[in-house]
Amino acid sequence: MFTRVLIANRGEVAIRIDSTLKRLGINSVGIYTAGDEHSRHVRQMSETVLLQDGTQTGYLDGAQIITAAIACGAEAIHPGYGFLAENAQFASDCEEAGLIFIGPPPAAIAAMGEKVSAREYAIRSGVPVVPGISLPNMTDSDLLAASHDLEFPLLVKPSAGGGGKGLHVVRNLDELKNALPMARREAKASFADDGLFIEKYLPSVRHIEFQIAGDNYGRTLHLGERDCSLQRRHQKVVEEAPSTLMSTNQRELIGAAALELAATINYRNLGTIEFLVDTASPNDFYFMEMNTRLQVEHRVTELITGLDLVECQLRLAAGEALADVIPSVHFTGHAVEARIYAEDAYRGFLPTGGLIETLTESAATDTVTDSAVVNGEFVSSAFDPMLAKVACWGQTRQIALSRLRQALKETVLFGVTSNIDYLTQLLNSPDVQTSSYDTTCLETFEIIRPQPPALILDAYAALVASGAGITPWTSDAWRLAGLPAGKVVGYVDGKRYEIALPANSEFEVTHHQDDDNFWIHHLEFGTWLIKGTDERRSITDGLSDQITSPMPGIVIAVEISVGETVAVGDPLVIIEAMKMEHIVRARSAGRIGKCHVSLGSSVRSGQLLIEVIENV
Amino acid sequence: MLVITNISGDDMNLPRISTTIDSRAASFRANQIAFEDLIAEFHGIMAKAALGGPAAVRARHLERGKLLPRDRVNQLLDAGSPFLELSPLAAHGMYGDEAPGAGLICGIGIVSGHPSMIIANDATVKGGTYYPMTVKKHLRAQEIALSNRLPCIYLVDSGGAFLPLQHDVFPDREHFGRIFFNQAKLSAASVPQISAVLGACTAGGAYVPAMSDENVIVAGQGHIFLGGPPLVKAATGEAVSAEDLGGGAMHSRISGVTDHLADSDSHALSIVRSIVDTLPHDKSWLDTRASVDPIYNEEELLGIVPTDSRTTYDVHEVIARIVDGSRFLEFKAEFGETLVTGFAHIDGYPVGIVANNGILFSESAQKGAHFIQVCDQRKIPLVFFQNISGFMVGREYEEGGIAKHGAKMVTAVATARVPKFTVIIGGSFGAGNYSMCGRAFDPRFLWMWPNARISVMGGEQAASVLATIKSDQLAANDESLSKEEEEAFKEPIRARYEKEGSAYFSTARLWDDGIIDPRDTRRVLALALSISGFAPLPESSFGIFRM
Repeated sequence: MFTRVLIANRGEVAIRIDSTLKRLGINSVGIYTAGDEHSRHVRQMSETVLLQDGTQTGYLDGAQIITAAIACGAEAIHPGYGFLAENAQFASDCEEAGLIFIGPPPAAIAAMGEKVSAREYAIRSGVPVVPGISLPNMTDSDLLAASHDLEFPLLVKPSAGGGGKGLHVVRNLDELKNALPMARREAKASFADDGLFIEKYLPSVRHIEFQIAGDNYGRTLHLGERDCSLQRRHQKVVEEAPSTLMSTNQRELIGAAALELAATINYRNLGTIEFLVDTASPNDFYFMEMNTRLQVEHRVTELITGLDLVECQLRLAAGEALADVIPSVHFTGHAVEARIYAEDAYRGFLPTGGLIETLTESAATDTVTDSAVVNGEFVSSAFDPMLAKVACWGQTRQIALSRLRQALKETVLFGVTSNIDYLTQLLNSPDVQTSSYDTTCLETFEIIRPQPPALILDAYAALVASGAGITPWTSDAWRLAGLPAGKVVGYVDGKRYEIALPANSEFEVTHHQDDDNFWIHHLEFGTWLIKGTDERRSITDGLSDQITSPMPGIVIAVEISVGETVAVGDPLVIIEAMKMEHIVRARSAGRIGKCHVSLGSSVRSGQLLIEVIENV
Repeated sequence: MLVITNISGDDMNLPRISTTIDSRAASFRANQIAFEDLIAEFHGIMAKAALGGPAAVRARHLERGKLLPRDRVNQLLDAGSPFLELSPLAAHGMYGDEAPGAGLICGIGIVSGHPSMIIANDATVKGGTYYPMTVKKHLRAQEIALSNRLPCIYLVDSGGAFLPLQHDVFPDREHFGRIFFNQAKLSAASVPQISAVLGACTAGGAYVPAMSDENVIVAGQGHIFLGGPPLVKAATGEAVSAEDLGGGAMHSRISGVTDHLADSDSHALSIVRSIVDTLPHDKSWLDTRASVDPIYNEEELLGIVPTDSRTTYDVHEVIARIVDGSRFLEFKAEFGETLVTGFAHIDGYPVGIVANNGILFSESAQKGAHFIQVCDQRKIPLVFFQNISGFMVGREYEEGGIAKHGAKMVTAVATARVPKFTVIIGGSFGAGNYSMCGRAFDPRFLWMWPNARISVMGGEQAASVLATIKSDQLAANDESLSKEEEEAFKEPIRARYEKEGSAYFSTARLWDDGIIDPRDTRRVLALALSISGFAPLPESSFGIFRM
């Protein structure tokens, strides 16, 4: 076994790997870049190495990381997920440098890394694939021509993709034509490769992926499936294991296909093979892609198998036999995981950001929270928007779902708007409760914005009142003859105090005087952000329509020029954030009065972009 | 006997009081049971008084779209604000028990961030008219507002003087007219006077809004006039509706008597909140530090303090459950031990505590006088825990000049500039009441525990004294009282002292500012202390006299 391992990653996955290394008594070394000094993984790991270069590029600088690993005496590198995890060049560079890459061999990564070739391997292994055209370097006209042999609707996908980025569903030839430029731009931005392919779009399928494991001696097995069908814009939101769609026979059928493919590419270590399974006839399944690394959602497999998948990776990489690492596989109960993203579900899932003022994880039993961030950390749009993931186990699916809902309610997250409300509503929805969902389910699922409950407003009012700052008076609604009182635990500009309410409830509250935002959390009602009133806004309304940036990001296109007339819905500016393009459109018809940004401008959330002088 | 140990390594330098209480002891449990009964009785009486007038009258009040006075107060207060109510049991057992709370709700709470004195008529109690105790309660609230510089908010809904008792309401110095005299004086002292006219404001009552700095009236509901329609009809024959005679629209648009026109109680209260929001904030001169809870549970007070004031106990145990961190730096611990004096903090506010631990002797009085001077010099507020049967009597003590030593302490109490707070936690008898800052000595606030007794002397002593005088008179005629006759003579005296010495008899007559649950003592003192530093102190002119 290794004595020292370098973790070539950041955030929650670095912490996740570190915890297993610590448990196994292996020294771990972390890496970070300038600007990331205060992030969670750096604070938590005892030994870290500062990389040169910018915030994002440092983590992608394989040569520098290998040098660091050798310098600190590590024998192996764990790449985590994202960054260099599926970079075959990096894996082979590690080997050449005499380091063990904790993952599959470079050739297997290369075979599966490019979708077109992955598809060829699947076909060669006898694994069914979705009908489609996937040739290298297809031009727009190649793709348009190829579409004639296929049935619409079709799916446009980046050849070097992952994580659902740059995917577009098109229903006819026109839509295909329109989608191609944007798909290429996104593919280029995300994967530095604008190659695309198209395939048949299946209307109702489940995303079911199989966790496989292989040793250095050609032995493989699977650890069952995870159902990741609950995706939004092809980003996984909720994952569960086992899938309610799978019978034991189907599990063995698809599992066997997965192992066939693994054998074809001489796979080693852990990996995940993703399938689309027809909701109506689960015996119809199609190979989608393979992730040659640990998955974000590996926790649900751990919860039902009792295995530590990172430990499995380490031991397999160290040369142990599969039979020793995983002597047998038993599935017990059910596990569900939800991902907490820095996004505003009430505002079209726009990326959010800001300073994490409070992050308190649920301490419930059978609950695992992997947080990417810590209190006091600034969440920028430079990295993945996932803040944390919460996974719960239960003897039955119902129990696991209830536990997860409760754990999400118990999670206190102040400072950054997140999708926690969305997740709890989603888990409560009939589709999820009865397990009658497919991969399109979230396209139609709508979050309902509830009115703040009276108790939350009371807490808010009490908090506003507490601004008086006269100690005994800030405490509670005390009366001479005694009143039952609930409790508000609050922080005003970092100073803790408690106030009581004439109701039997406990709250947690944060208020910052600079922005006048109140964050209020209650076990039953979750987290609420109540913004201080900004009366200045009403003064400017009606004079000109001031279009502000809905999120932090980079301006990648300015579609208008000053003086130009625009209609409602016309695109004004395209902003890229979190590798997604967001079109800022005109809200009123008029003439462009001022343009405050240009191509490449970096903008804050709420920053003034364009002023439209409205038509009267 | 308590052992006081100095614990180092703590952020506070004061020594911690060690307790010798065994909460499993039978006596503790007995005290606790007896005290819980007293508190249950107290809560019952409080709850009943808090209802206000009869149910039918309250229902009629609500039907008119008006809020009940307690709801008005709650709406006026900032959410979550405590309300330190004053004399909620005024007039208890008086006037045939027709005037719960004397028909007036007074108290201190936070309005738009300002600690304010709220004075609200309860129109469900005899139309909100002023009984003698209503006047006394109103004047007391104004007095507290002046000494602590609290803006006054009058929620007016009153028919004026209660006519059947006009002789005890109208003419004297401390009667109805004093309310308006006080308003003028308070305003002159820059203590804001704000009123909301939520109902009738007749005759003298009309002057409450008229004498205010700024006021609000509810259209169609509030009326201000010197004489109402019936009186106008009788005097001049003019027929006029209440609304035309003194309605909100008339006063806001024509007479200019009112400043803001509201369309409901809630609207009026929100306007008042806005008005208070415009007031400047006073600065307190009090030196404070972070608050620390006592290490001993305040619940234990009930088991420590015997409900019979004749039973002795150690007052250190009470102090330990009220002061921050149960820390107390005792002053002159070895001298005049029947009076406990020392420094502590209550919810972060510095206090000098003067507490009885037995009869007052010359030494205890000297010590008290010395300590009070020290606190005054250092601008440390004084808290008196009264449990005193009086000064020691007898030849030896008179020869020792106990009268002059007592006078020193009384002088020190009377002339100390710092805010003084008195809590009667047991007996309050005779001159002990004076030296321990009784009502006549103008403590900022005076509260009683439900077990407290107050009278010039104990019932038994009074009965004995009077029986002795009676026997002496009879002896002059060669007559005498038999045992039975003496007992028959004493019994009604004892019964009378028993009734008139109770905390309820006291609080009904405004001899105090209210009865409090012992477990609320720390809270109540903290609330009072927090507002006591707004009024500046005059300069002192003498150094400290070592007694």
